[in-house]
Amino acid sequence: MTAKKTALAIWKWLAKVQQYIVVVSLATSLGFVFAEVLLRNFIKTSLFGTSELAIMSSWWFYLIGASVGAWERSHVKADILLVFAKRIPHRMAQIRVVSSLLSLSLCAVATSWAFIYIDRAFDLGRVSFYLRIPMVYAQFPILIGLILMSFYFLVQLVDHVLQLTGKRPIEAYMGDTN
Amino acid sequence: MSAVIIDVIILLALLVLGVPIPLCFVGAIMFLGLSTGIDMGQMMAAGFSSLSSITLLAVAAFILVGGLMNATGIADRLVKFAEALVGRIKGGLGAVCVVSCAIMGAIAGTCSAAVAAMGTVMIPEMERQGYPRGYSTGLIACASVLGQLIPPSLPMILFGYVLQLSVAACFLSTVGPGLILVVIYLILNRLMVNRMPSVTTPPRISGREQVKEVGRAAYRGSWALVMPVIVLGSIYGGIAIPTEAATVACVYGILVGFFVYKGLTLRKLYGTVLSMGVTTAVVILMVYFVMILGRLYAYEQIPQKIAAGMVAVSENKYVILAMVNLFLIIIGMLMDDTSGTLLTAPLLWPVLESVGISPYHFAAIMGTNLGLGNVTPPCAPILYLAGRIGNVPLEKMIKPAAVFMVFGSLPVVLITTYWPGLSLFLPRLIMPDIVP
Repeated sequence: MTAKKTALAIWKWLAKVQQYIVVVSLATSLGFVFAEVLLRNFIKTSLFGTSELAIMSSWWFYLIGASVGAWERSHVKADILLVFAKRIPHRMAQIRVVSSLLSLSLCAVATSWAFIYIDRAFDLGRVSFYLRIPMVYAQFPILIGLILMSFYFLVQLVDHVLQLTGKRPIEAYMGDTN
Repeated sequence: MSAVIIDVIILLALLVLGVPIPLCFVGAIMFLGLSTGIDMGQMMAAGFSSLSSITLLAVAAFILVGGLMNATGIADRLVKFAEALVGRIKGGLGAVCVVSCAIMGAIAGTCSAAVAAMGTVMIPEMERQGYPRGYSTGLIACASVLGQLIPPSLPMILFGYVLQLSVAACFLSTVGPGLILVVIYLILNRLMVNRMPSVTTPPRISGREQVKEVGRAAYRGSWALVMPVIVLGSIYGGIAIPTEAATVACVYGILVGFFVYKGLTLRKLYGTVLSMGVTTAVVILMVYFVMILGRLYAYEQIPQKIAAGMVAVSENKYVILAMVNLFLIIIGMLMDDTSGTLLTAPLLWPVLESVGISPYHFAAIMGTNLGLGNVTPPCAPILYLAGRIGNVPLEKMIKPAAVFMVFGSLPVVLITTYWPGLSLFLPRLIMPDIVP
C-alpha cells in the first residue's frame, strides 16, 4: 500500500513539474517576443538575441508539453476503428491494446534517435550565434520529452491490458494532479 | 514507387488503429529511414533546425489568444455584439453563430477555438429560443471552419511555413472563400429555420432602438472588438510579423481580462496557459516529425513521383484539380486540419506547380477542402468536438450538418478550386510584390 502511495505521489509530482515547465517556458518565449516588439516600436532599439532566447525556451514547452499531452492522453488521433467498434467493448479494448503497444514501440524508436542526436550534440558543443549559449540547452528537451512520452505510453499500455483482462484500470487510482 | 506505397499504407494503418498522429509519422519515417539507410540522428538534427524559427511561435501565440478569449469573457462580448446586430431577425441566433465564428476567426485562427468558444456560449442560448440542439451543434461545427478561413489562420501559418511562402499572403488567400461561406451559411440558416416552428424570435424593435442596442453592445464589447484590429492591423500595417501580433493580442487579452472585464484570475490564467501550451506542443510535435518525413520524401523524390502519377492519369489541369480536391477531402476526413496541412502541402505542391497553379491559390484550396473534411464523418474531428461540447450524439446533428456541408461548404470548395481570382484577388491587391 505504501509503495502504491509513493508511486502515486511521484506520478503527481512529476506531472506538476512538467506542467510548471510548460507554463514558465511558454510565458518566457512569448515574453521575449513581446519585449522585442515594445523595444522596437517604442524605444526604437532592439534587445540583443531575444529571438534566440525565445526559440531556445520554446523547445522546452514544445517537448515537455508534448509529454504532458501523453500524460493527459490528449494527442491527436484518428481513432477510425474505435468509431466502428463502439458497440463492442471487448473489441474496443483489444484495439486500444494494439494502439498503445504501437505507440510505445514507435516512441521508443524515436527516443533512440533522440539519444543518438543528443549524444552527438554534446560532442559537437555548438553555441548559439549571438549569445553563445550552448545549443544543447535547447536540444536536450527533445530527449527528455521523448523519454517521458515513452514512459506514459508504457503506463497507458499496462492500463489498457488491465482493462482488456477485466482488471481495475490504472486511471482509477491515478487521479489527476490538481 | 513501391516503397512509397508501403510507406503510405503504414501511415494509414497506424492512423486507422488510433496511434497518435505524430507517432504515425514516426512509423512512416522509420520505414523510409530503414529502406534508404539514412542516419536518423542527422534527421533529428534537421528537424531541430527546421523548427528553430520565430514564425512557429505564432502557433503558440494564436492558440493562447483563442484560450484567453474564452477565459476572459471576450468571446461572450463578441457574441453579444453579433446578437445585437442580427439577433432580432428570423433565425437570428443561427446567424449570430455564423458571424461570431467569423469574428472569432479574425482573432484566434482555429476551428477548435471557434467551436469551443461558440459551443459553450451559443448552444444553451439557442436551445432557449427553440432551436433543436442537433441543429445548433451541427451549425456551429460547420461554421467553425470560418475560424481557419478568416485570417489569421493556424493551418495557413503552417502552410506558409512548410512551403516557405509569405504567411500574410496565405492569410489573405482564404478571405474570399470565407466571406462567401458566411453568406451561404446565413441563407441556408434562414431557409432551415423557416421550417422549424419551435424557433422563437425576440420581438422587433424600431430602427432607432435597434441602432441604440447595437451601439450599447459595441460599447460593452469595444475592448473585445479591438482585438482583430490589433492582430490584422499590425500584420498588414507592417508593424509586426504574425508571431509578434499574436503575442501583443495575448498581452492585451490578459490585461483586458484582469482589469476591464475582471473575469480573469491568476489560477484561470495558469490553467489557460498550461492547456494552450500543451495543445501547441501536441501540434508542434507533429510539425517536428512531418518536417523530418518531408525531408525523406524530398530525398526519395516522392512528391515528384506522385505528381508524375497524377499527370499520367490526365494532363488536364481541371481533372488534376478534381483529384487534388478528392485527396484533400479524404485526408481531411482522416485527420485534423493542421496535420492534414502539414502532410499534404509538400506532397501535392509539385503536382499543382506542374500545372501552373499559384501557391496562394493552393493555400485557399487546401483551407476550404480540409475545412470540409474536418466535419465529414467517419473521423470528423470538429463535428465530434462540437458534439462533445453540445452533448449531442452524431445521429442528431449529422442531418443539419450534411445540409451545410453539401449546399454550403462543397460549393465553396468548387468555386475556390476553379476560380483562382477569388483567392488571389486580395493578395494581389494588398501584396502585389509577393503575389504577382
